[in-house]
Amino acid sequence: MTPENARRLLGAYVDGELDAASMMELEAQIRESPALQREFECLSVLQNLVQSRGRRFNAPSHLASRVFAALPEAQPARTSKAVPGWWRRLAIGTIMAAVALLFWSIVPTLDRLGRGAGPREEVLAAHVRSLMADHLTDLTSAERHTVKPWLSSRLDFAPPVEDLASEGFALVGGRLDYLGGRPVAALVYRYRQHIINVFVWPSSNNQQVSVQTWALRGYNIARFDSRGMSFWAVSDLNPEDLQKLASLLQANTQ
Amino acid sequence: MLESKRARFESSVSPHLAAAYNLARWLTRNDHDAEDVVQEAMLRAFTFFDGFRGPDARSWVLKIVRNTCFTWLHVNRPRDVVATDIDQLSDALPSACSGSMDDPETVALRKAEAYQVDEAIAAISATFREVIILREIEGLSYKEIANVIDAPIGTVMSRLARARSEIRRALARANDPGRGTR
Repeated sequence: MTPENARRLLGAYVDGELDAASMMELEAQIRESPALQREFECLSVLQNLVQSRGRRFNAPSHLASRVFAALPEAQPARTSKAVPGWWRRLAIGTIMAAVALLFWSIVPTLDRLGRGAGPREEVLAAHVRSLMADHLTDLTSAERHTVKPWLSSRLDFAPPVEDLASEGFALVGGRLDYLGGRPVAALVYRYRQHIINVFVWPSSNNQQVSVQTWALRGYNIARFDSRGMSFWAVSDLNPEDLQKLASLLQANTQ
Repeated sequence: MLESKRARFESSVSPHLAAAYNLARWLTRNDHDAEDVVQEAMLRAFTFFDGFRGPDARSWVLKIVRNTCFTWLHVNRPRDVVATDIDQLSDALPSACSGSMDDPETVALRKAEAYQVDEAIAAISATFREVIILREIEGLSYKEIANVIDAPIGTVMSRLARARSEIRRALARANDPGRGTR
């Protein structure tokens, strides 16, 4: 570590952002260099000062109600005196109108998801979304001992995570998703060139439900329940192989 | 369905409204503008809420508030925003703290009053102010800040260094006018 580098890392050091190795190396340099020592002490004083005396502005008590009342579909309850300038009101009005318009265009879709084919449509939509948005995994790891605790620590349940690479289903990673009004685990597998999303959430019954499959708009969906969890696998993979994955998962979680 | 989206949005966002307001207040430096910016940011956030997933709602909210603030600043306070190619100069930055601990500047630093600290933070440009607020007042990690301002961690580090150096100089000036031009 050059003296120049050491100086540059001091900030990260007082911020607690250095890894253990760099920290030890830097501490050794600080012990040997009075100039570095002074600079470190001065940075600490400065940081302490800003953290302890710097102001955190408190939001006014009406802010939350004002903000949430202005969301589309709520009756406008905003007070006009809080909005200086007619042009700003116009701008906000335009934005609200745009948001409302956007909403009207997606409301029918939401309604269809809500009552129609139910979870199948929702699961398929989530699968397609995960491929479109370039957001397939929050955590990319083929190691189930990494994926499982990552998901468990972010959900109120512990989804079973199986590595089925020996059967050709390679674990790609995990993701948090949102289905049927609750956070769910999404496990991502790859089989040859096909991506498979397996959504897992706690089921309302504790019974085993054997594998069922459906075809929906060119995609295949397989579902089963095991040990109090619902599993939904969805992919453009052929139904036989998808069913095979579902059976393997079910056998492994029993 | 719509009501549940609203409910989900409120429960995701509410815990972070205080941080959102604090950031907006520091960036706009005005109560009313901060409120307006937060409200506009939350409308944007609600629009994009369907696309949001992941555990870190705070960074997500702060990112939208921050972007709304800078849009506002570009229109209303263009001089408060520094061209971002300033980051390339960071290698040549002066040290935040060059004097000894007995140096009058450092002595002055220890005696700084809360209002002087606030004035010093308010005096630096918004580009540097935001990283100080996120780091020191809101306690975000470098990685979270990088996510909020959509910049590499190296940029976060150089902006923090620059911000601290300017705050220190402003404090030294405030406490020792005789050395004010340094």
